[in-house]
Amino acid sequence: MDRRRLGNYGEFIARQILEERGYLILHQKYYTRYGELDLIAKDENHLVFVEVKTRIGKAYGDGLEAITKRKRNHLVRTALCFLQQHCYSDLPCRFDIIALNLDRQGNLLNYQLITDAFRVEGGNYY
Amino acid sequence: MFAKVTSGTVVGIDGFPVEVEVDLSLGLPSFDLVGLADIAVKEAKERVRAAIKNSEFSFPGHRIVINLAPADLRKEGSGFDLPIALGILCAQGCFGPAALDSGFIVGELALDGSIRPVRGILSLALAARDNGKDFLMLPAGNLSEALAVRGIKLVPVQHLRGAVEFLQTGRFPEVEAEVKEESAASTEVEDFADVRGQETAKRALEIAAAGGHNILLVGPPGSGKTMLARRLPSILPALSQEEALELTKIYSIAGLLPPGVTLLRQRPFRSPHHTTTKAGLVGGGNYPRPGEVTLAHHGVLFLDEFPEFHREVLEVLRQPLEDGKVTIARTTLTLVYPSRFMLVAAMNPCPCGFYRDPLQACRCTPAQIQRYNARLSGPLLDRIDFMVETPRLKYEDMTAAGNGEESRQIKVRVAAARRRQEERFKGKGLFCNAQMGADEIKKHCSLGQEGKRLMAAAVRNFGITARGYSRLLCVARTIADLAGQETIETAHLAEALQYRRLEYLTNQPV
Repeated sequence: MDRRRLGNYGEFIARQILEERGYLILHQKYYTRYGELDLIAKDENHLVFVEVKTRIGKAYGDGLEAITKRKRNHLVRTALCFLQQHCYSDLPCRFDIIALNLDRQGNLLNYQLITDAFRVEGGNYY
Repeated sequence: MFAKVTSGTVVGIDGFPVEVEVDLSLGLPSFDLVGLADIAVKEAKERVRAAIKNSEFSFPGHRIVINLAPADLRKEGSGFDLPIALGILCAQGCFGPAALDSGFIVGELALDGSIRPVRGILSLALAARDNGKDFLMLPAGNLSEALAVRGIKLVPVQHLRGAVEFLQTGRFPEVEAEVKEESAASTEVEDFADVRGQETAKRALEIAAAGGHNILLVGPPGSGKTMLARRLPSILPALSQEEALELTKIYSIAGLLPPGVTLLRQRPFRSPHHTTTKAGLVGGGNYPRPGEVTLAHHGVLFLDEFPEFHREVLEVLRQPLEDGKVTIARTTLTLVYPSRFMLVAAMNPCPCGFYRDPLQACRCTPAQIQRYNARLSGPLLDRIDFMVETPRLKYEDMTAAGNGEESRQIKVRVAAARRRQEERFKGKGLFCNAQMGADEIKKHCSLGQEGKRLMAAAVRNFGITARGYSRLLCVARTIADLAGQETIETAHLAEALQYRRLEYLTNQPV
């Protein structure tokens, strides 16, 4: 599987997991010039931006370790873009990260969902 | 969604109220703290978040902005954790904002939500009361310190949950109002009766203690200089209520208050090592802290091996010796720490220690001795009222039967002399003779004909400076007070003169 197909496959699995947990998925693959949001969902009264990380094996470390400060900045900018274009500003927001571990055949071994994984630092985005 | 909590910070030795404003708004989740906070305050963010979460409250998914007002006052210390956490919980509607109106809140949070003690509670409690607040919420570990302040209800809290519960119900907890005072007699184990001989030095220390004068002890090693100085606290009079409160405030800020003690009762005795720095002695640093001279406020600062201190360190003592306070200027603020202490210094007469000793020959060259004594500058020595030699003890003195006079007896005389001074300086903000200014000296130290003649001769022959002249009159005043006399007799003047033998150090004979 190449990287793009692995990513899409992971998002598909993550979507199923989140829907089972009661998330209402609003958008998948939301692109802007600043970056991309994998999933945008509503969880009870929160607007949730979800980043999906998919890994086969542990050779390159845990998927969670791949969320660097730079990546977080991209997510924040994209989220701001989304908020400006859509009328969800009456909801408090949250960033979640879901990390999937697959085996070589593409079966889900386990996953880890981190709700409210990080917050915006500094007031420079506003 | 907005909430306001009153807290405070310490500047110098006084507490100042600080408004902690919390605003929650929609938008991407963030947590910002503005209002000239130092690092310990900025780090409150992480402690507050963890403490709220671990106390089973929810941390809001909002854009959180905290403002500490007034914005131009630098805030330091960890006491803002609790007000910030309560502000966030209040803005979320955990309890009504009215509950916070009449309170003053301080406390540091642990990650599990329990509340840790902070420094300077006494100053903050006074600030809370003077700002007309009804209650002070403080860490349970600080309760004993705050008990000294009357006129404000205390709410000691151990955990964030307990703090919220109080604000929800408004039920004041029972505070055990047992004021524990440090016992005034606990360190009087070192008694003057242990010291053999050295009667001149004992007499000089008694006068110095009675009038709060500065004293320098010079003698060969092993003659009892340190022993004498260490026994000085045993003859000093007890602290007055006013002095005790001021001293306790300083120790509360320095974090040096013994646990469980509400009010200090003993005069401090500080003996910094001679490697101490300027900032260590007079206070200072990036975040200014009181130094040794301030910690010795209303007590004794003992500098053993006086010439071994760095020269510039000794010279910074000039201002506190003269004014009784230290002014520390920074670009953003100027602090004043009180420092009315009694300086007791001890030194050897030369590097080898045996100059002028009748038995052991001095191994130093005249140049060495001169260099050694030149480390003490004229202006500094001029501020010292007594210079007393403690000669080597003779065999008969060392083995003499019977003890010397006990501290208890000396203390009675000292206390009587202090009472006369209190009477004299009532309402003037002075505590002892050594603090007299030009006006007081003129008023209380008038001399007779014979006394004037003696002083004229002394000024001419001993090279006494103008400052030296007025300090001499102060000492003579104290000697007269000890003798229980209203006028200064010639004998008192003569005794004061005999202790002022500074020319021995400044004009070194070759």
